[in-house]
Amino acid sequence: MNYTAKIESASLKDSSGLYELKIALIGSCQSEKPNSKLKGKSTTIDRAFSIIAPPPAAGDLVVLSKAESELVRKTILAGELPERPAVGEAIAQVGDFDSDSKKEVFLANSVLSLSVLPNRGGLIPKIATSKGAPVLDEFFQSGLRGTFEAGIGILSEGEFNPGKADFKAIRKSSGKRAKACMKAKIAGVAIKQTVALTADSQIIELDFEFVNDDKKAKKLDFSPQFKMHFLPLGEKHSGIRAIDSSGETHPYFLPESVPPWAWHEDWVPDYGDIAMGEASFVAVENLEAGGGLVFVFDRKSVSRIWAQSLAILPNLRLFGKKLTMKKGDSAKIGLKIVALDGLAVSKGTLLGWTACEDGLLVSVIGRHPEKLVANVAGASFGVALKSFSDEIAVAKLAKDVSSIEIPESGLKIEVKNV
Amino acid sequence: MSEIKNITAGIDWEIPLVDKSSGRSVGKNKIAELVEKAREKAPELEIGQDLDLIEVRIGMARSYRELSTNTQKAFDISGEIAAKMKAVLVPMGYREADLNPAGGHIHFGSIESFHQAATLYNRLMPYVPAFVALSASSPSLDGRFKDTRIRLDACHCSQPMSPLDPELGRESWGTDVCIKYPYKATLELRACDSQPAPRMMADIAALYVGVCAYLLKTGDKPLEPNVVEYGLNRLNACLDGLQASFNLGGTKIAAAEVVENYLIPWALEGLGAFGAPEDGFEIFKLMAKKRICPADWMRAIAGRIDDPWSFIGEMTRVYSRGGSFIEWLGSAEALKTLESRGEKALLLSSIGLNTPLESAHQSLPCPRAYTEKLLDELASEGLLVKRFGKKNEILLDRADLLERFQL
Repeated sequence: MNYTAKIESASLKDSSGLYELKIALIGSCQSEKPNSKLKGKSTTIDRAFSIIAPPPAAGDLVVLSKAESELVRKTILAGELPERPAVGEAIAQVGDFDSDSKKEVFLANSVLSLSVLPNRGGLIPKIATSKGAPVLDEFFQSGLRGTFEAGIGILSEGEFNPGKADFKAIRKSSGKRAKACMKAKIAGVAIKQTVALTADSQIIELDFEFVNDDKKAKKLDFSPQFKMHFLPLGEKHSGIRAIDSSGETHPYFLPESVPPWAWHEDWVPDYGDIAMGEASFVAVENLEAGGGLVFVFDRKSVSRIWAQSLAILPNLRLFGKKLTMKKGDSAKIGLKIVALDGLAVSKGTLLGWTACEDGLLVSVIGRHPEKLVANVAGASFGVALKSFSDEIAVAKLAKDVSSIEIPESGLKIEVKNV
Repeated sequence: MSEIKNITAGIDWEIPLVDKSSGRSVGKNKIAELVEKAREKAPELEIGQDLDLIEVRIGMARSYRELSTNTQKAFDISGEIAAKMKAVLVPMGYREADLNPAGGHIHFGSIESFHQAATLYNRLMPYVPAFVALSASSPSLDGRFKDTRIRLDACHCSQPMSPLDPELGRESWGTDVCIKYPYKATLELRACDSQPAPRMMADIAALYVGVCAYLLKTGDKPLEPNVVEYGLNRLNACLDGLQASFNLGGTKIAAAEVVENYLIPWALEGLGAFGAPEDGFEIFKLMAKKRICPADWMRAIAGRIDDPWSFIGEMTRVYSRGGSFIEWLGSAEALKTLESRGEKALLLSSIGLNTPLESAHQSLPCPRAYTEKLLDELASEGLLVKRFGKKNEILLDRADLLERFQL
């Protein structure tokens, strides 16, 4: 979320162009009403302005970066912020794999868990593997029919609730068994090797240490290490930054010139946790809480943007026939992917979906989202539309929706209340 | 070559219209509203809309004076209406926040035959990258590209050209230069980014029109279109703007020198009775001398901003406060010409593991066969491995990565 604010006053702090701005929040770039608690609230931020730009003055609009927005949000809502939901709160059931598919079994050993972000449109797989990057590469390649390469990193400390597949991975790497009720904590991220970012040397290895943090799992007395490889790919280097709890960003991986597009995590605000830049696609979990799991998908041209925004769909295809999502006390909604073949996305695509209290939210991206949503949902479903921008729209489907279909894509999803 | 009888010019100057209070596009409905009001005020200008952009047009200009006056008028009218709607015209080539490219398209007329159009199309080809370098106003926030719009082929709306057979060819749409004949009597240059000021839009239009007129009437042996040179020059222009180095006819030359030594003198000669800017393209001369394009100004404004929404927000603020590239240019420090990138290095840097062949093609705007020849050479040098995927699609692996992961 990028908040927009009006400058109430500006005072120059130093000769580099750093100003202290007193600002009043007025909205956001991505939606009309970002947060009623925030609208109209005043706060101060430090912001550097180019010396060739007109100096900031009262009445000017500033669009805060995501990091600034987060900082402002935390400052204004200090003490009012709800507790961070546990990462595993809305974990999709992983494990209902197609046993005759080697790929899925293979990937099951690599996938730690698959999360559905509450109120958001994305499915975020967590991946760890003892096999290293080739497995990840295979995963991503499979996920999008070989259209992109990727890297992955777990960026900072935080809670971590492993799922069934986690234990397979842990067991595989350590040879020890663990109960599935364990909670763990990512104790730290150690950068084992950082190689200068050039076209010819692009490999950064990280070691992650998982520390058992649950009394019920005392038997797990080991700290398996998962070696991750992060692969910035040449010309379009992928980079990751972590955002710590104070809102500061850290270019962990790339000491120089971290490409900012690599962490446009809020590209689809509110419900997406999915971002795109000029040539990247980033899915981020729990940045709000500081750090989290970040995926960077390298993209080769804008023509692929739509295709690659679909990372969540192949995940569904890969990781199970059924995904049960729930949020609070709302009705459970089961989704069944009927067909994904021929998924064509030139005209737009289904970005994601998530359960809400009275139905299903479907987010759509494309040049004409209103038409796409109409295609997705169909007027007969009594869809309430909300456009977040000219290219993104959300449809709210009623409870009794029986199916979603995108004619151009060949995608059909059967939905039923369960 | 047949000399043009009636020189005419037109522009389709695409400009993002940004809501002052939110930093995002005002949306198609408000743009349509603006266009309707603008057309009421000045129907002859034919101001229009292209998807999520306002398209400043001027009808058909028969002189430089008409071109510059009407461009300014159309911009002013649009700006005034926008201000009443609490919106700002933010001319820049690419709005990274929502991936929206904005071009400064220029029409040269009046074409009298297809043969004339196709011949001119071929003659223009070597010089198109110089227009890209000069007009670049779409910096990528990662600092890599000065012309992101063309780097992305303007979302398929300005793709690399191929030579056209004047006898056997047909017009097509969506390349850097498009033949509009016979349904319009123009040859359209689509490779220029949206320009940061009406004066610059009018001048770059005049520059293109003058160059076209010159190339039509010159008796000199034209430079043969070399698709590989053109593709690499185009890519280097996207990367470095007016700091780029080109190869033209096998000779190394700075992009800025192409502008200064060829385009400007040719245009001044070609424009003839149409008329040229009184200062003889002084702004472009200064830009060439300093190796500076509008993207450099935008990048300087962006400063430490690395968020696309913040960037468009800041550009909106700058434009609404009267920020001017032309004013800044006078005091800006000159930049240096940069070496062109090696084609193999560029190609190899786009390849990882399981990279589809298509990705490699997209990274190099050269003829397919040429790119594949380079790939074969890289393979024979042991730097990459070419293989078939599950659906017999060709996949590429960088050899060092394969080794790294012991695959």
